[in-house]
Amino acid sequence: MATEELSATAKRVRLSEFTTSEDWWAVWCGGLLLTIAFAAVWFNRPTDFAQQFAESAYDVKVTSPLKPFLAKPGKWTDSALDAFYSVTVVEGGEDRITNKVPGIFGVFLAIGILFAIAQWVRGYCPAAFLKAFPFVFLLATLSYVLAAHSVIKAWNLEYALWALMSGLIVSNTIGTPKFLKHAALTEFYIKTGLVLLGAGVLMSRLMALGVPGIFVAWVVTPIVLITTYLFGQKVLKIPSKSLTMVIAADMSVCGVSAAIATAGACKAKKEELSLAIGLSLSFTVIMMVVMPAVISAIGMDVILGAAWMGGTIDATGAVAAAGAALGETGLHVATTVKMIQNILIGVTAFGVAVYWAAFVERDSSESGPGLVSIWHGFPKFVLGFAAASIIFSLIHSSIDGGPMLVDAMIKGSTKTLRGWFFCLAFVSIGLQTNFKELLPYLKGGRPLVLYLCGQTLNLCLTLFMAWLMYYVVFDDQLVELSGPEPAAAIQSAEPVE
Amino acid sequence: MSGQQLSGRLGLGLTVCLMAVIWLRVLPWVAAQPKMAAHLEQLDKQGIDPSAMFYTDLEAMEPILRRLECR
Repeated sequence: MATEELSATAKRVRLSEFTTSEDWWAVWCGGLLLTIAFAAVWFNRPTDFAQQFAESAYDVKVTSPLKPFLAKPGKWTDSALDAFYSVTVVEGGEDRITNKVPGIFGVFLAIGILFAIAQWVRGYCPAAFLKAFPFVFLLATLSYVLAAHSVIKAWNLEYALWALMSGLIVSNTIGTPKFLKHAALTEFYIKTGLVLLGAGVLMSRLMALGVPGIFVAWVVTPIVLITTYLFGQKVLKIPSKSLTMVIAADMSVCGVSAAIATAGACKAKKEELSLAIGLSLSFTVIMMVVMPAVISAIGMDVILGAAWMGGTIDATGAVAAAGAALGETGLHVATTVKMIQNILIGVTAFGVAVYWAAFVERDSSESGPGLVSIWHGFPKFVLGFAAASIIFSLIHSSIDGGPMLVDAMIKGSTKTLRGWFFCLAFVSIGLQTNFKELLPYLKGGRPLVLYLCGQTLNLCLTLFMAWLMYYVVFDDQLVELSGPEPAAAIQSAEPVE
Repeated sequence: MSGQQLSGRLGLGLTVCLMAVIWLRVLPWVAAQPKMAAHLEQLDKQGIDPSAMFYTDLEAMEPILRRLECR
């Protein structure tokens, strides 16, 4: 009888997880937002969409009706007000007005209402959340404005840095007011943002650069990731496994987005995520400038150099800027290699989550990693992330006009919402962090040594693999790869003025 | 108001002032320098946002993706 009661209680606890756990709520919230976003595009498509697609394929225009209601502060140079409202003269002498205020307010309402309901169902006070959320959102908006200055953008200093900084400034000067903690929901924001990110992890784009691209992006990356992790643990003896993993992932996969996904998968501390992102951004700025200069100076082939940069520079935008310095072909190859690596985020997050649940967090009394214990330790939001990736990959590849529908959804709504979720998460991290808490992680400089050693291995291995694939094994694919300027593709790199 | 509160508020005020000077004066000046202005214009023309976090955030990817999908 007692056993039955215990079993029934355990079952109730397991079922209640679906309504109370943050992970599952991230899946529900992310899933709801993706459903609404896709439905909006689907019902807004032209009535003769299939016919138009059959006739003109990728020239069909599809947009999201949600786009005007979801926005973030725009790029500005001279006046910060331009981030919210700007008038630009377009061709023909007409004025084009860009007003971001309704879109920013729309995001505020959407996230505020959704999360208030989620907090209420999870058993927290929605009023306390609603009281604090405007302040956290205001700090996120301010961070976006700081990040949106054109020079800051050109230096690849992403909004994550400024969001973290704005939170840190408040918490380390006047101290974070207690009431703000009700809306500083770091993990909830990150996990929901990651479920939305899953929709952009389109497996159908994997073969964009053919087999050589897969070797450069998908063979080198896991080797570097695992080697760096083992080096950090066995040689450098970094005490925190999760810090080692987050640094290894952000360095080998694709910077901040990979760091966020891996940190969620291995349940890294917020300070560890902040440190990994700081390291990644610092080195990205250097590599973005130095690598194209070195490639041009030594006269390396454009495709080889671009594939090298695409596989090694952490941030996607920085890869584009560095690739463009080698010309149109450089931009084409570098960004496509990076895109393939971006898609690796899904596999990395899933693999790390399984490894963590099976081996790192396993109860030492258990003899082996049983399925039940893996399930218990597994961060469930990763399932939402993987499901979003699979569903939208299928839509992208199997429906007529799928690429246009998925792109319109991402561009018109989920990209903006995902950015806000990450921005709110980094503001929350800043609000909950004291500078002193970061100091122990910097002790002995081991994270820096780990990053440097891992990146050195990454640079060597990626260059070797790119050369082997494009110039030895699959040299026949070079012309196809060269994009819009085939004649220039196989020439040495010349710096673009 | 305690000494700690006062120093906290002073620290916040100073940081905000410093940031205002950097973002509202220094950065617009840097952006106006001929070399930087040309670099920014070039990035704009190519649809490159070096701070993009993911490939879907990058306008420059659109023509590349179209070309790849039409292949």
